[in-house]
Amino acid sequence: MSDNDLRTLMRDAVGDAPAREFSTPVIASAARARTRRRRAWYGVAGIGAAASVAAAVAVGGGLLGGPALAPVAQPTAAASSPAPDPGAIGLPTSLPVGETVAVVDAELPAGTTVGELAMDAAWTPAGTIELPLATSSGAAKLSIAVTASGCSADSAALGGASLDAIASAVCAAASQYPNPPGTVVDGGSIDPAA
Amino acid sequence: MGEDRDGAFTEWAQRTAQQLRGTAYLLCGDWHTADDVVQDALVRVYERWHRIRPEAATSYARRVVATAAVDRSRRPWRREVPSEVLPDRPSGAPDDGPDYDVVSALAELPARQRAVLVLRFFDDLSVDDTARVLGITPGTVKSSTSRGLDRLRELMRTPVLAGLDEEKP
Repeated sequence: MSDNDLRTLMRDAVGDAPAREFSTPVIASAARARTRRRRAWYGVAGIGAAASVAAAVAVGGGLLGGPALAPVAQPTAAASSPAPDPGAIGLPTSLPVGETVAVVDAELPAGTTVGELAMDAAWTPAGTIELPLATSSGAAKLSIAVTASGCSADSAALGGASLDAIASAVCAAASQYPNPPGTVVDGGSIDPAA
Repeated sequence: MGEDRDGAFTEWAQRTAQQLRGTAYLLCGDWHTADDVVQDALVRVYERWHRIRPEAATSYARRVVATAAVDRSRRPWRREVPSEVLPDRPSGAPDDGPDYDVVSALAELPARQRAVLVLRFFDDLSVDDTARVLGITPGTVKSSTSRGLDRLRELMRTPVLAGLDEEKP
């Protein structure tokens, strides 16, 4: 028996594949939609940052003796969040490491890949993560930060365009989750998905 | 992207998509997910088409497919849940036949072992090429191949996989 036995089993398994065509116009349209989503995310992030600055200025103005703001009603904890089910399995509420790796990997230039992750690889509560890179010239590190002011990526092994693309892609992926990466949940434990 | 580039991309995609579908199917275990993963890979290649050579595009697409499949299997709602009661065998299944077909058996393997076996034995990649696609060391590829084959053989309980331990350089 040889390696060919497994090859044959695998080929047989995919031999009766249902027909499927991938049309270039559909793919081009999906690519454009992806680009639009990224740009929209930048827009939302920009508005969020502006709102944060405006809120900080308003609070600062109040502290310095400006006109007092009317108190804003706050929902009670009971009204806003139902009692947690201790037996429930939670979906990730922030960008998981695995998806981060996939997103980063897809933006790396040819010849560079994400290296083998450490067992304890995780987003920090500050919204940063460090990933190993395997390049043709050796190992390197990639640092990513996702904060309220935006996303950034930094690595001595990558050019500015790649770093911008990675930051943009990670920002877009992180925006799909309700919390920023590394969010602390359940009274102190890190979100297990992140 | 101009018409020339679209034409070149279409030609490449027609040549490559079916093999990518096979890879994705063996990694994901169902055709719908496999088609989603391949579509995503093609979109990503299309976005970078002006920057990469067709040979590199295939390698890149394969990497996107493998990474997406590994990532999907790591999501909490995709993980297996331990059960106290094992499911019954389908009625009429022969007692002495294999417990699994190759797709079901692959699905039982850890994602990285599965990816290593599919890339090596379905895509016919060498140890080094497999390591490059998955971003792991050749040593990890070799050990994953060995462990994966042992587990596959155990799952399928068939002598057809005997003798698959020899490493291709």
